[in-house]
Amino acid sequence: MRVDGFFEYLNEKLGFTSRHRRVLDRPVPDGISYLNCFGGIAFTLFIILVLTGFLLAAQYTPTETEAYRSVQRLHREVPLGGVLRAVHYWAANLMVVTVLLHMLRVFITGSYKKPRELTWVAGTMLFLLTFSFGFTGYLLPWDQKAYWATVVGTNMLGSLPLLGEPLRTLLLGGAEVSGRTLLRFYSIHMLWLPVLTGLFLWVHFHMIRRLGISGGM
Amino acid sequence: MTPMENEKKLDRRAFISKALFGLLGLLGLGFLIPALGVLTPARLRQRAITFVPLLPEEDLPRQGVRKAELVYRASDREIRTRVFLVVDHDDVTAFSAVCSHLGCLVNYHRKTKEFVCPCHGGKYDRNGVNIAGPPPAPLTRLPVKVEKGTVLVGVKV
Amino acid sequence: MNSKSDKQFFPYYFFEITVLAVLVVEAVLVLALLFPPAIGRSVDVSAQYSPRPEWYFLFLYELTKYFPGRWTFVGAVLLPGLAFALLFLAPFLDSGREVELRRRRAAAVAGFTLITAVVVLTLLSLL
Repeated sequence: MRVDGFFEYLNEKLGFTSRHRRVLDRPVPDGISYLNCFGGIAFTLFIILVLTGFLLAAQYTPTETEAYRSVQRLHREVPLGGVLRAVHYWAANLMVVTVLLHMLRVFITGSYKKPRELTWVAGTMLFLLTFSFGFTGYLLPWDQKAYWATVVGTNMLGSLPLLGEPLRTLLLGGAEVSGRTLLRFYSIHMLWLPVLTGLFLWVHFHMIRRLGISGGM
Repeated sequence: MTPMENEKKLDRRAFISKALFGLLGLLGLGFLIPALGVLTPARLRQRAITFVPLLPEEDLPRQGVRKAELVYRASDREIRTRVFLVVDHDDVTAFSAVCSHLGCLVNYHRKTKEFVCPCHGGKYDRNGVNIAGPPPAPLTRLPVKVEKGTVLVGVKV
Repeated sequence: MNSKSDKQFFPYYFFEITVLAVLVVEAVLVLALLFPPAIGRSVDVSAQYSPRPEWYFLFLYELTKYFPGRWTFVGAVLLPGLAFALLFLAPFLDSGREVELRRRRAAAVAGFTLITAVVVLTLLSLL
């Protein structure tokens, strides 16, 4: 069977193009500035992070005794393991950079103004999620930097009067940073944050599709 | 349809949609209850003070400050932490090295005779009193005793 | 929007996006191969260690230095929280019709102050 034929068959059954005709055929203004592409780059990086994350999860053990060793094994024994982690690391850092640049661009061009308020609100949630990914992610190798950054970071939260201490113990799963904390951060990094990010990305993109790319450039 | 019937139908509609949201709320609550149970932190029991061996008595300096690593088990978990022993003549005091600001481990600077936190530069004098920088409280003093040639430090286990 | 220069999303614009995505993947790969992250030392309380967070948290780390004692929470939670609230509510606070930054005096000043504060704090923490 011809490949084209197969896709046509699928498309006929699923009704994909007729369902999404308006998206697929929608006109895109020519000559959008390259400054408009930071959001798209951030999304590309997010996809890279999801895919490399899937693979890292196959080698990583989220326990107090094994976490550090599993990262060492990844570097030393797993073919291309070191490269995999390096790609995850760099994509994460670049994502922070591009998210910041994207926000800066939107702020400068005033693109968040009516009727695009909700696009921006969803965007700030994505910004918060990006930083939460960073914070929970760097505990996972369970090395000196990971451990102490988490001690300091969660103690900062704990400094809040009244609410701080209960929130801190909830996050840590106990009185101090331990294996429970590692497991909590791991599940937040791997489940809660990706699902929430997917949700807000959907809102973000839905609004852009609904209202079109902000003009005035 | 008579106005009466129409009204009845609207009533039914309003009731069903209320019931729908009620049921959805109940389902949400059904998730929240096990969530609370599972996410509750490990119990923070205030336990009795247990003395654990730190180092042999002959390792104590005559005068001055010594850094030591304290290792003990608490609820099936090995805990490692840093303590400082301050010796003044016959008097031995033990301090936990955990900075009262944000929990980093302080170091002892021999020249200035101060404990200094590497994170935000908090300073404590030899008696553990916070003298500079952001720390809100002194270093925690740990009960200490010497028995049968071993220095023991009291921790909550 | 329906001028002659517009193009269809599929496949024309989608092609451009994909080219960009390929470039991004290449860039990440080059960085990853040239500067791979090291594995740190395993957790060790007896070693002298001076913790530093990732670069994007340095400003927060530095900010906590300036609020001693029981005011720690101001630098650790309150100010960052307010800054985030400001960002979150930006379109509602800066609600005029004007788009040009020069005509949005208040927004420009607030934005500039926030960016300067974060940059200066980050630089201070690196000293």
